Amino acid sequence: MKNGWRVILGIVVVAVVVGALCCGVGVLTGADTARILQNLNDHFHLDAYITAYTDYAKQILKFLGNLF
Amino acid sequence: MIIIGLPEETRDSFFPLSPVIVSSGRALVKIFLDLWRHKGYNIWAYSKEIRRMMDFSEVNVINRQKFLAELAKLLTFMYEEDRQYAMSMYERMFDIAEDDEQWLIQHLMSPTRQAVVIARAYDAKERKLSVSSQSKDEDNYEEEEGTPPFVLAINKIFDDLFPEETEIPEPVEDQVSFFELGEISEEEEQKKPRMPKAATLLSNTQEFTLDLDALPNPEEESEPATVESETEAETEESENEEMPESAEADSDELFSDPVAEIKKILSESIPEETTEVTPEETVAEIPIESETAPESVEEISSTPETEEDSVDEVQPDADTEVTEPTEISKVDKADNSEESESVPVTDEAGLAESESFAEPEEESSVEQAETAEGEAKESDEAKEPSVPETEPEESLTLPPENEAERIPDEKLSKEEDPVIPSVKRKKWARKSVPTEQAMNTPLLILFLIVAIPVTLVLLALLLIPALVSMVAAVCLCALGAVLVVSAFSGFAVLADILLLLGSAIAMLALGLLLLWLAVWLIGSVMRWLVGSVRELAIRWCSREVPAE
Repeated sequence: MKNGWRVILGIVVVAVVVGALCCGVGVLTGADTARILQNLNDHFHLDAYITAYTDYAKQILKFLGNLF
Repeated sequence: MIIIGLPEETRDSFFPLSPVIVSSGRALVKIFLDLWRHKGYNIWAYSKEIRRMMDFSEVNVINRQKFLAELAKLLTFMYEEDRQYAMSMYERMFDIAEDDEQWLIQHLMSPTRQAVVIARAYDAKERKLSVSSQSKDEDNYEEEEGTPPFVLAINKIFDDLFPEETEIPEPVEDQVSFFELGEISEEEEQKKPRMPKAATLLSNTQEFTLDLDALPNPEEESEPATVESETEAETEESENEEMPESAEADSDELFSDPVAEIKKILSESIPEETTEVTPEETVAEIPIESETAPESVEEISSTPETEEDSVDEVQPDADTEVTEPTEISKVDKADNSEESESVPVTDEAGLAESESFAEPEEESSVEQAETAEGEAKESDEAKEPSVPETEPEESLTLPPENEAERIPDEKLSKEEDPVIPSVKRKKWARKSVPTEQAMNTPLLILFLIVAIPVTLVLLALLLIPALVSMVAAVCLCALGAVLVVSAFSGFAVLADILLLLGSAIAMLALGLLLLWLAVWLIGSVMRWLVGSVRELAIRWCSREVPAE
């Protein structure tokens, strides 16, 4: 288990460092988060999912509020 | 580096954050250099210190049971018989240091350290052959094939920790033992008491140095010395002719002609004084020197008794020399009357020495030794009346200070009784009583009634975070995978792709970490919980009984 922890932590640290470097380079080279979100929204319809889950949560909270 | 190498205007236009990066990089480099200057040299030492502190904290926490359990785990590389033997030795060590358990653990440092010590001394290939034969009889390390190195290593640790328990070496079988006194031949019996006398002779050289001025002229007393000169000349001739005999007689000469030996030592140590006092001796030949030396020394120190003791035993012809008292010896007779009483004391010291070399096995043997000692005293007393005139003149015995040093040694050797540590040590080394655990069934049922629900609740509590972390891990991994796919499918700008890939990699890494956390919670912590409850049940509901 100790060796497993060592290996996993090593992988995680390396991956996080690489990811941070990629993000840094992306930001430095002119990445735009609004443009990325817009693109993802177009591709995966994130707004629709967000709106739907928000409505579900509100209904559940309203139900719980009626109960108590 | 590329950013730093560019001109500032170009760099700022392409990379708006470059001034911040450069300044922060400089600051980081400065901090790193400061750290290196102040503490960097001793990073290895710090790590060692931290490791030592960790070991120390471990020592503070663990107790005997944990120590032995950990050591048993670490010694799994050994054969089972050897491992059990080593563990029994450590258990015995803890038994001895029962009151100072923490002290012992602190000195043993850690189970890992002990395992390393044993591993260094353990030769698996060598033990492979011997273990099969030892498995028939576990306690035959010392008798059959010699002590294994790992046992010696543990014994060394034991010796360091318990110096008072160290084993006194047993005498060699060929060595003359005090208990064999009745069986010793007369020659050996004559040789034995000479040892302490020789010591006394050599230790009393200072007395002679004080009275060297009183050395008489050798020409005045040439008559009694002639007999001795003849005998000594003969012996010297025989020495020149036959070397083996002279070699054999070296030890006898040392004690048979002690005055000549002392004279030799004196001539080596203070040659100037002797030349000043007796100028004839420098001119005279060596045999003449040996003629005059006994008498002169005899007169000065009035020591015919010890001479006689030693000379009588080896050279009975020299009685003529010894039995003639001189004026100075008469004067010193009264002064040395007290010292003459020290004869039996030195004999006792000699006997005590021989007793210390004797094989200590049983108390009966000690009693036997005492009786033999009494017999030896009687025999000495029986010998003494044969020279009643010269007895009070003996001065070549130990001075009072040396007697005071010897007598406590003799008492200590009797009081401490080296038999006890050696037997105790042997018992310690071989005592490995096999035990087995007998369970108390009603108590175990009672324990299980309480422990099972508690364990289940704890397992459930542990299962919740494990499941949560697993779900989170799966979600993060899925999200990371989606981001990687979308990065390569739906984006055209390189900067956006890099940002998405970076965040995807970080999410996958976190997902992996959470997944491992879930596995660890289920596989390790829950198993530890169940194992500890089982151990608790064994500890509370069982007891060790000797195996049949």
